[in-house]
Amino acid sequence: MATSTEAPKTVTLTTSDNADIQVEREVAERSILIKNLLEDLGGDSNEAIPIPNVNEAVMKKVLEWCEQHRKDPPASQDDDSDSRKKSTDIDEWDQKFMQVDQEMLFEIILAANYLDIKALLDVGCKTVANMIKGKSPDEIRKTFNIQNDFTPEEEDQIRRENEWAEDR
Amino acid sequence: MANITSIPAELLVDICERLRNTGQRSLLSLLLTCRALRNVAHEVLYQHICLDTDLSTHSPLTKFIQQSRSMHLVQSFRLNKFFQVMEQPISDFESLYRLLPTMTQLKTFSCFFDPSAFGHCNCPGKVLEKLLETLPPTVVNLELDMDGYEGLHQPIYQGLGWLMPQLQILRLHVDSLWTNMFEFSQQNACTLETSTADQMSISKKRITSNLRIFVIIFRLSRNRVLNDSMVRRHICPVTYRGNTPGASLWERMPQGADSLTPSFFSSRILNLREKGAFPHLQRFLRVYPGKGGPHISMGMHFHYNVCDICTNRVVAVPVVDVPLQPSSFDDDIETLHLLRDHEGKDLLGASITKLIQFFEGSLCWTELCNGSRLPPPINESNNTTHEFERSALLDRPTAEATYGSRDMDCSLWKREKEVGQTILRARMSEGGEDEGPLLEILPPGWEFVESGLGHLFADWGVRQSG
Repeated sequence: MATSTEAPKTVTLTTSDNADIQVEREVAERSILIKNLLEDLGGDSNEAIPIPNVNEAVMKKVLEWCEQHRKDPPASQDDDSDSRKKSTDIDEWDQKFMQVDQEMLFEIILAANYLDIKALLDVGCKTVANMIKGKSPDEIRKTFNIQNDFTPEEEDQIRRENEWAEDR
Repeated sequence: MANITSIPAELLVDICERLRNTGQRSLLSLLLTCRALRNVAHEVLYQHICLDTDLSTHSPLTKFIQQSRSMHLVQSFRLNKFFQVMEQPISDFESLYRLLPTMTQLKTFSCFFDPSAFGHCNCPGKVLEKLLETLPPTVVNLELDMDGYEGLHQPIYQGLGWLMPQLQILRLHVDSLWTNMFEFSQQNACTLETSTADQMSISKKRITSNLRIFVIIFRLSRNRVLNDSMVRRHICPVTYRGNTPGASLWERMPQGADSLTPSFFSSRILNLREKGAFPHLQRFLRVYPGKGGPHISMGMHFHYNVCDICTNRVVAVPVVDVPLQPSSFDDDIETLHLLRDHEGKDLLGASITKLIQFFEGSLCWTELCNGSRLPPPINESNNTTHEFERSALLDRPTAEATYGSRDMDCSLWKREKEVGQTILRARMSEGGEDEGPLLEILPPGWEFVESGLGHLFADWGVRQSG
């Protein structure tokens, strides 16, 4: 165990666009993928860790989140699979953090998924859910730049078959 | 470029589930945006369904039945406000009998009786029996909340009997208990086995139940007026100043040959468990009114027994009504229910639902935003003790902050202030039964004194004796 007086251990991450980022090990280990990699490499390897799926800009953003949440307790196994407890509540810091353009938002989600950072992934999904909440189909399409690929007949059919759900 | 349709399907499912948990509307919008999102939203929308039992032509339930394409997606189904109008033939429910078997992945079925239908309701027991019979073999979690239904329960238990071998989690909120649900254990299953001598032989096996969690809430919110002079609604149920002091109503009710008292019913289950009929049973919780009440003698309180039979512990929790001054708000809460834990701490709840949540603790079912209900998780570790769900109720400071302006009139608090210590707490006892009344315990040198009528029953005060 490192004590607080020792210099914190760092690791180097190499992103998809070949940038090296130095970061404290504790921060990088918010990513379960990196944590497992480091454990596999053994204690004191100085090798850079390649992260081929994430570019520098996204990685820096992800690490900013990890830095802020470095002391959070690890996610418990229980609430992992419990779909009923999933909410859309986001704390203030995370809300601000997620005020990015849409491309970056989805890049962060993909990176969090790849790097296995459950809590960040949750924040990402909640952010998307909040962007959908309360909107009409048309507004959702505008928000996310989605092409409507239904024929009017299909749209009508979807409406009819789900009419039962409308008053809830 | 990364966009909403480029993220993996399981993340889209996650997003849809979050939307569902905050209301169905956004999910409906998502259905109409594009094919890719429709497919995901459609699956999530049909997973957990809750609909009122209204089979008129244009009701949501009828519309739901008419679109028959997606029944195989339904995992949990709740029939809400279940009732049957007087004289309505049970064949009127034909479309429901046909519906349930088409839900080929149904795991969880909930049915809630509509208490407001009491009085003009026929006998939905028969209909329910038939519904239970039509449930697909995939159903492992079942919940029947018959709160307020005083009709014939026997057919319901008949239907339950059929399901006992397949059920893992069962929750009942009922008015009477019948033995016929145990008949499965009397039957033998015939299985064909190939013996070593390559001969076909028929061996007989006892049928066992898969039940793991069984919660039974017995007549918790009975608020029927038993005595003509009692005009106010009251949650506290079973005893009254009759010719047999302390006798509970359920003991005085005409009993059918097989209708049981709670303790008899549970001893029957434990007996069958010993014989091997419930090899997986981990938790068996029953909540039922205890004996005795404030109108029988001074210092005596209504209480509920919460009995965790598999860990062999009973907690007798006193419930005191705290009447509120009428408020200008339209929330029609007239009374708060004050509970005491065994440390003497106050816990207050405005509704029976909250009390039940508190009692059920970790065995409580979860209600989603659309009303559908999901069972508690099955805990693999066997020997947990039962914990109450304290967050369902308010502590005294919070209750006072919420309702304080409405003059919470609680004579127990007055007595305790006078005496200077806590005189009423929940009682915890090891062993399967606790039949005793629950009393306030005064320190030496104090005695009860009559103080006339309280808000419902005779009330009392305290004074120093001698």
